[in-house]
Amino acid sequence: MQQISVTELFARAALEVDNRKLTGLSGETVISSLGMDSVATMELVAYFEEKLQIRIPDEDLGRVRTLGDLKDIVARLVPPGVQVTL
Amino acid sequence: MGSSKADIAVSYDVSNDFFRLWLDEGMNYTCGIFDGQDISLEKAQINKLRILSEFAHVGPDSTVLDIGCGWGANLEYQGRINKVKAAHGITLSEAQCAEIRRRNIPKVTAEVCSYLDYRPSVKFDAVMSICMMEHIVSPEEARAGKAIAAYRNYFRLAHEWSAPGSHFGLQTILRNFVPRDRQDLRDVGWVTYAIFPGGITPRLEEIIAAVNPYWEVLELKTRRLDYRMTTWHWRDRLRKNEAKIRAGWGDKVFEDYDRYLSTCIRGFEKHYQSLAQYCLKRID
Repeated sequence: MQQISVTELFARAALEVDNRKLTGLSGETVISSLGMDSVATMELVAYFEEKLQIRIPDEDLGRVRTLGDLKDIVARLVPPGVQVTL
Repeated sequence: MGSSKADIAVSYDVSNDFFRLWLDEGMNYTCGIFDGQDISLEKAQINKLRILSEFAHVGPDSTVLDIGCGWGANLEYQGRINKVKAAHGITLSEAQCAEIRRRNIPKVTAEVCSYLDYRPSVKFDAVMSICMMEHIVSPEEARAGKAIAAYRNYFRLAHEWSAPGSHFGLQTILRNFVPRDRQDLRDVGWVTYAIFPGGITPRLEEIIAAVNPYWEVLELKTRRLDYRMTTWHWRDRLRKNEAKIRAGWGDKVFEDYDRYLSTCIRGFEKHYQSLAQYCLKRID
């Protein structure tokens, strides 16, 4: 079964997209507190979509406040059989 | 909430003479209607004003309110072409209001006033608002889920300011979807914060939800390619006046506005944005 760790993928995305090294991420991490502006945050979302071959509806983007929220949305969109963890 | 007076100054107070160089003669800073025809920008802007006047059911006996009246192009159309009984505009821009006064249009008045503070002494029988709703909510407020409530308040106020039986000719840009292309994301984000701070374009479903229980949607038409063509004309005129703009307002102003208009053209081409015109009837 394929496993995806949202915190690991998020950290990788932040490094690639925003040249930012993030550590200590958890489900409670509030994305807006990480010092990235809304454009950089959206670039991270686009990174997730590209790597996981999913499309997060725009109307759901406003509900993503924490990495836990992101994990819940990703888990809904990935194919069956893919396990999404924090 | 939304664009402050200082934000509006960033968007519209560079200089009236600067905007005069690349907008149409009337200084409409909103989408003109080409309907696929090879016509001038001036003709397209008249088409827009005619359509929205029809949506607002404007006639010679009308008293018209223009919410977010810009430099007065629509007010001038109402005063000189439709020859209305009276037309009043509100704007947050001092420079725009100064231009309206300079035009000295019969039967037309205007004031610098936020729609949130406006307290008219009359009831209008025709309401018009052309791409002002983009300033009601900020990106942060939209992300926090406050857009529909803010738009509903706007429609409630327009209802309060209007007489029974009134119609509302409305035009708004639409935010269809957020780009995923990195350069497009950066450009669209830059336009949002550098050219139009404090504002964000509405989504169609937000308008449809927010008009109730105050206004009924009688007609709705989207005009994506008309705005692509309008912004193309603006950028063409901007570029034809490049030397004058650089000399008068500096390299940064020219380069910023060229980037902004190029982003708009791309945005309408790639469906990130569209434009809608609405005919609304007051629910009495």
